[in-house]
Amino acid sequence: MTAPTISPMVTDTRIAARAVDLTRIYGTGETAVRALDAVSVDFAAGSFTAIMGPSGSGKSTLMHCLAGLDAPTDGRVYIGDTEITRLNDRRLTRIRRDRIGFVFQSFNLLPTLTARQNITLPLDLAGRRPDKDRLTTLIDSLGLSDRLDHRPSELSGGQQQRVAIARALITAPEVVFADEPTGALDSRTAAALLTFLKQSVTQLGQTIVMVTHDPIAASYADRALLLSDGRITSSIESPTTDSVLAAMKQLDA
Amino acid sequence: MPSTAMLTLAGSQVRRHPGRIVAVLLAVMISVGYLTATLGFMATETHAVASAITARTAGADVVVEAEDGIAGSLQKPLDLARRTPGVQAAEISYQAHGLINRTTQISVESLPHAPRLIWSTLTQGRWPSDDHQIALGQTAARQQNVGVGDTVTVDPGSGPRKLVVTGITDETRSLFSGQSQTGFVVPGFFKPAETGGDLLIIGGRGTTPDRLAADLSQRLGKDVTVQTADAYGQQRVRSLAQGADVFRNLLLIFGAIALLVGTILIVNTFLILLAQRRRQVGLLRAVGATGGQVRRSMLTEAVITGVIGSALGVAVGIAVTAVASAISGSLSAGLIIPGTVVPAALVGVLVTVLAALGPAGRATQVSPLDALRPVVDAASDRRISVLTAIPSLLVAAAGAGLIGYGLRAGNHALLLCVAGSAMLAVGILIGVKLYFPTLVRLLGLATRPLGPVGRLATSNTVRNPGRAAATGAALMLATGLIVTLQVGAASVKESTNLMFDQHYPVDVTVSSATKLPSGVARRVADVPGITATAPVRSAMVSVATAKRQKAQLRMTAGNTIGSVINRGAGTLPSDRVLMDAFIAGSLDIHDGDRVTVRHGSWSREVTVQPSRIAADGALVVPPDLLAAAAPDAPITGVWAKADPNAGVVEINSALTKITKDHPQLVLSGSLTNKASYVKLLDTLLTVATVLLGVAVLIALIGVGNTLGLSVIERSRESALLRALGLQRGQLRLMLGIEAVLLAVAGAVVGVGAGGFFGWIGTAAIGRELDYPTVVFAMSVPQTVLVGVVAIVAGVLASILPGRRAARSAPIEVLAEA
Repeated sequence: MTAPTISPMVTDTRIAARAVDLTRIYGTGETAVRALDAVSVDFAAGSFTAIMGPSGSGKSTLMHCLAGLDAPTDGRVYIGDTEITRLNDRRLTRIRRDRIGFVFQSFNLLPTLTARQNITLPLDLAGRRPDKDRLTTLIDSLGLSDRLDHRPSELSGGQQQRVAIARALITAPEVVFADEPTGALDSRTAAALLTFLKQSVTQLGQTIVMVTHDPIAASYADRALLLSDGRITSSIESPTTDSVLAAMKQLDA
Repeated sequence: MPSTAMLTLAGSQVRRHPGRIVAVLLAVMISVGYLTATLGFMATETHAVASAITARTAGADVVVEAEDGIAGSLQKPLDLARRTPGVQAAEISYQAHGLINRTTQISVESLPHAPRLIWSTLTQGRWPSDDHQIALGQTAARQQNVGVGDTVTVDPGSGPRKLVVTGITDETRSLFSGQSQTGFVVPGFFKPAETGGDLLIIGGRGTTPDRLAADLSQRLGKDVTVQTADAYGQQRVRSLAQGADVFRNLLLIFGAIALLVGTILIVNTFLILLAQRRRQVGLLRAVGATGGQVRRSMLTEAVITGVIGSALGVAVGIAVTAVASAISGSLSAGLIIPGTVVPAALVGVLVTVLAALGPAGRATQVSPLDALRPVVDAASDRRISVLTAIPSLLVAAAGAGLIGYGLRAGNHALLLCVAGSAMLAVGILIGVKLYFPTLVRLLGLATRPLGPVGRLATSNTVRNPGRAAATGAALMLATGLIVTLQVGAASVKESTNLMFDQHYPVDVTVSSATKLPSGVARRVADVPGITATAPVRSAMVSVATAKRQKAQLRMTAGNTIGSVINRGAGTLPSDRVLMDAFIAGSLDIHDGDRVTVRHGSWSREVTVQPSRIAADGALVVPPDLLAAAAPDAPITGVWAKADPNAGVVEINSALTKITKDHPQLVLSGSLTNKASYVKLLDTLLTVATVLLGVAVLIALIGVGNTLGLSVIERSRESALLRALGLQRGQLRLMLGIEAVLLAVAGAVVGVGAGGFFGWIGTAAIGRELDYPTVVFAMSVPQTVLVGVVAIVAGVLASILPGRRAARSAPIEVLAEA
């Protein structure tokens, strides 16, 4: 099951998401900013990747383009085998709904819905019934079973983010994009969440792409990509806090 | 202490986000525009009428009237006046009201000598030069269908005379004098001793009207009244203006309702603006702005908005006045914008500022901490304050009590019920928060089949109960008033119809004193909506009672009249004669009394039964009795029955056409009387509905506004939903459902309350007018129409906000707030 032009590194693995020569330019003429400069990268299914880099390095733009939230100026993005850069809004929306999960820094739960309704929202929108076992497993492992009928305003920050993670995982998406998921949390809560994310990768085979600038968060990933000026400058396999810090210092130098 | 920084901020808020205050601008503009147009139009109309009335004397300086008003009495004063120093010219102006071509009212006046006094202009031909000629106003010429060279008959009150039309004149028209017909003849046409008129005097260069009037007053003595032409004109106009004032005040009441609905909308808008700016206000407070400064900034914004809105409103109002008076014809006398427009505009500003007071007060309560909270929590005061419940319940209970008392008390039922209804309505409006969210949630159950979109829409609609309630209240007020009027009018119509049916057992009677002209019976039967006709014969008889009272009455009989008499009016007995109940009363005849009926040499004693069936027949008898008394009695009338569902007004106008061709015919029966009522009520209802439409329009702008602003407020949320897979169409659908829920909930309460108040009003009017039975009627199509309009308007109101929400890119969700 090999495609003719696949990179040697991931020959035997299914690809969950892929960027090919991805370029994103904001503005035109003199004020044009090249946020992404011909970035090509693969994310293997069942992998946990951290995207790192200083502010303005293009890490958020890369994630937005990969997740179909932003349209690249040039290049292609695949989710699984589907090229999403050519899709119209309606089909792209369906891809986001059914095959992508999101976790945001500021939780972004709907204030009018209960925790349970927030979790099942993507399925409701698709008109599908939640898989009972999956829902129960998710809720139990996230420790949310006694908070399900509360509204977001009645939940702590950690609880809100756990609801958001459950919402991202409920559809069993091909890839989950997490944007600074621990940015608004204290270190203990953050550690618990990151452990959960890692477990979902190792135990459930989930694919996760996480944007972060926290070396500790990055150490939970299988691989850390460092971006600078719109290019991937280095890739660290099995990163540790120290190896990431060292690589980032090198960038600054 | 005015703060430049805060003023700048207020100004920039208006400039930077004009979209957010568009609704306020529109509401103020429509309300002020309506008031301005009302004031301007009425002033222009009044002016046109005034200039029409005073045109005859406008060219003069002084007007002299005789005590008896007769022109002949002015001959001596005329001679005296001509010898008075300062008088340049004096002449008698004759005026008579008479008939033209024996049918139509016309005002004929003498053509003045002095060119300055000629107030009308010739559009065709020339002025009359002898007493066999007339120049006709164009309205009269058109109505009589005559032109220059034709002959008309004019009767100035002293007998008809044939006159040749020598010219057609132009005249001012207006809403109130559109049908006035005028004509000019030479002074010699009139007989001074029989004609009304006054003395018109033109002063010389060296004098003023006031001085001249004083001089003449002294010289001419006590038998005449001397006034300046201005004073004379004002006196003539004053009596007329009172009627117009009532009309204007009525229109202004509708304007006040529109303004009230607008106020609710403005309060709402400012509350939403505040919610959106909570962070910003918190930030201002954090960097050192005092609560007072924040409040003043919001009030300044309100003043700016109010001033712009009012100015636009005045401009729109003036434009509407110009168009309306151009249509009615009064524009030719000049566009008058009265000074009262200024207070109207100030009311617009005042209302805006007053509406902003509450929200501005609330702005001072925003704590600096609000600026620091990462996500503004959308949860709001869900609990319902007991304090809101108590006054609304008290006011509603008091109103209900007043209505109950009013309906039982004999006197002042209408006044008590109107006051009670107003209080109950206020109670319903104050307490809107108590029941409106629940109502929306109930209606939201109907959106279940739409899945999460419907559920989201329902919970979004009530997430801020106060805002939803205020938006609904504005709509309730507008639809409630319209339905109240509809139900009231429909019920009064039904009750009045029933009363007429009981009073007039026959729908239509066409009668003549002599033989009915041939073809009339056929034409009546052919009128669409007439289902049955019965010819009647009649002869005059003399009736003598046991108490020796005598009367000449028409004895009527018809073989088939039983088929045209309405049910419930009683049957035709074979052993008795029916006598008009009113005549029976005046002859002191009671049921079962015996009278002697005589016709020529024939006479018979019969038993009388007073009955309304005989209302148009005086004495209705079995056909064989009439045949015995007067074998050769001619057919003198035709009675007819109309389809109860057919248009009363149409049938009546068709019948009137027949009687116009035969002036000796008299048209009577319930239908004719119904027709005039129905026509009046329908006209009033249409006018009131159109006027209240302004309030509905504002209320619907409010729905769009609430929705539009909450879309801004929820832009992050919309973006999130889009990121999670909500299609654009679904997002628009969601907003559409929100708007329809709001509109329908408002309309449901409005229709319910309006129906109730309409019924109360009808019951009260029925008591006041002593109606035997009061019928509650609700026009289903009209009420359904109100509901449909609410739904359609709700959908329309959601289009713009929906487009805006759908435009929001899902990426926005990731941008920091």
